[in-house]
Amino acid sequence: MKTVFVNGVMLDRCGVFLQLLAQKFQVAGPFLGNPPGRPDLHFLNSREALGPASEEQRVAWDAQVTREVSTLVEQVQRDLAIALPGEDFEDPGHMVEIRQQVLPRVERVLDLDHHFRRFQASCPVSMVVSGSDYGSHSRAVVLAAKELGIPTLNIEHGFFFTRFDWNLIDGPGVLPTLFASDFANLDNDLEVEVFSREAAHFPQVKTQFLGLGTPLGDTSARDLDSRTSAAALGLAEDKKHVLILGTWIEARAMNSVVQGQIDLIDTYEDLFRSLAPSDVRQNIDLVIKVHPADGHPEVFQGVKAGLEKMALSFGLPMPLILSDRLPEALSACDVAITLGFSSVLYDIFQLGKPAVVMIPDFLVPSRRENWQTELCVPLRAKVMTVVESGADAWVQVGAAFRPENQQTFHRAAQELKQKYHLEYRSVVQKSASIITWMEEFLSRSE
Amino acid sequence: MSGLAIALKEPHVSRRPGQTSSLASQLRELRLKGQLGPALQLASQAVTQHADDGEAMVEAVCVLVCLGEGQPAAQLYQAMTADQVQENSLAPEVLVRLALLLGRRDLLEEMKPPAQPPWLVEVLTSGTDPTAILTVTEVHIRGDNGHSVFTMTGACPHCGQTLARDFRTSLLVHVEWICPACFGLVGLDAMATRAALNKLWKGDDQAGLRRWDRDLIDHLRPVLTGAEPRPFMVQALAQEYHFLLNELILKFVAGRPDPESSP
Repeated sequence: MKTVFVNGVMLDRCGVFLQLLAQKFQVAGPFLGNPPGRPDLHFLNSREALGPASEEQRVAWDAQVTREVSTLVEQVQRDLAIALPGEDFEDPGHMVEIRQQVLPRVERVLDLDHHFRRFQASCPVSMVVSGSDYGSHSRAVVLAAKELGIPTLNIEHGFFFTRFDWNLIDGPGVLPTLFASDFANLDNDLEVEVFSREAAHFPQVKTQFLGLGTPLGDTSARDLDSRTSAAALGLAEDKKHVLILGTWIEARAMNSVVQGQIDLIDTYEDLFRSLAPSDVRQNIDLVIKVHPADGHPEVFQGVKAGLEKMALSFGLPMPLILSDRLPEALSACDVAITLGFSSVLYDIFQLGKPAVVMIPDFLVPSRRENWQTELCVPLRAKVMTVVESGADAWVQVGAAFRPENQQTFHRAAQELKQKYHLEYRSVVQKSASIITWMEEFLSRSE
Repeated sequence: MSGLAIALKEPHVSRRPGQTSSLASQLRELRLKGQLGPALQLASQAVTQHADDGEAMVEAVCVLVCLGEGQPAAQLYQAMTADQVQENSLAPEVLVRLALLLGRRDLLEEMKPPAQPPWLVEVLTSGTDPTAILTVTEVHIRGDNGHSVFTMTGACPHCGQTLARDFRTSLLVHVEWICPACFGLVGLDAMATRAALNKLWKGDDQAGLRRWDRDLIDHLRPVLTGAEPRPFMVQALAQEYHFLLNELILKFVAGRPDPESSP
């Protein structure tokens, strides 16, 4: 049986895929364990299989850490000087801070690199399957595998339904997705088309894109009945249900870390203020599902209270605010409003529901003409709408309730599905497609 | 509730100078600094190992009250001996906050309003327990594995005590907490956090952050896409390398208390 080394593909999200993979290959990886209650499956935890490194290996590893930290600190100093030309990054205080940030990252990368090379030496690997290889959690293994001539396949952790066309965002301050594997498997033809076009701008990128399906466990509410879901959430039967899906602000993009917080508060305030006098107010129940980052127990109570207080300040009834239960919320809703472009827009589309994308100012992706209708395929296909104000959001929500618009939406959605083969495929079907491709690829390579 | 009731009728007895226990001092210091986690740990230690230290027991009660833990605070207070209570009775503001946490407004009926703090006067005269919004004077930001942590510092509007509060991920919040000095309710909401950011982060700083971000990405793009040579570690970190630089910029520049010093 051939061995596939899996790194960064999580059992909780891609469990079905990994379980099916284990029926055809020996599946090994540093983070894999056998799922409880499934004695028929066998994943090989590569760390347990290898045991600790030898003294000689540890000494070599320590020496490489020292070298790489030194090289990276120098690189960081040079790159920071580009961003902040007035600062002295060689002074002792800065050096300490830089080393503190650099050291654990270097250790993590080299640990993965060494681990994979040791494992490969003892158990030859036929293919490396990575999760989102543009992240450092899996990339080191991909680079090592490529150096050793082992084929590499990337699996994604989400959907790119609203991925922007590179032609419309290429400009200052934009990075492409930095795939590293020989093959990047995506969900569908739409994603393949968009990423292939993007990659064409970077001749150094050699990744080939496949559209075999992203094998995530279903997060959508496909099997739920909308009435039952609404009842479970305590929503009124005689009202339409509008779901607002929150976003969060990462501390990794400097242009949003401060302004994003201000804009996000402004955006919710705008939505609530505009809803108060809106025609749709009397006919809807409002549900807010916060972003998972805000749903963390340490954060959620404060955020929930903040949203409730803001809604009450505009005389609105208390919205239902959720930290989880996304499938039920999606199932129950008639229209969704997302704050910015979100992966969940694909779930909403697959459920046949219209979406309004409210863009906080810090998330405006482009100032080019007509970006609101041209930025990505679903906008051009008119299966979702972009708005920049709360008033426009509620106008669009009201429009989505009208039967003639619902017919137009469903026609447009059907055309888009046909063009890019976006019909629903189960996680089992997607997993099987990937595994069949792997088997065929490896048999051809022999 | 007898211990609590006794103390309400028999208010605070001052300790003679020089008699403060070191454990009580440590607890008090941690409480006033707002370090309630370490204070709780020390309080637990005090309860199990130094139950005979009446002053430390009172401080442990204060820590629990600050944390909003009314029941454990009342139980601990009730467990104190009559002598300990006589010598180390709780300050009126602690007793009132404790009674409010327990939902026992009836315990306040016989209490005469003291001169201060103002929130206590208001509770005892009008029955209103006012939440005062913290006036933020400083904002520090740091990155923690992709999450922003905003530390908002300001003065308690009831008593002037300097208070600091961390907010992780989001500032669209409404939180209330108990001032560790005067035991009044202090709060922050989205309006206040937004006002603090608007006041402390000026337009030029925003433009500066955007410029840094854009320039950095433009500089990194050929390196990260492989158009230019790059060290192995930059290749291996990929987008994490961009995050690393941003976290350092955040640490070096965005976290400065004085935005005027930003370039």
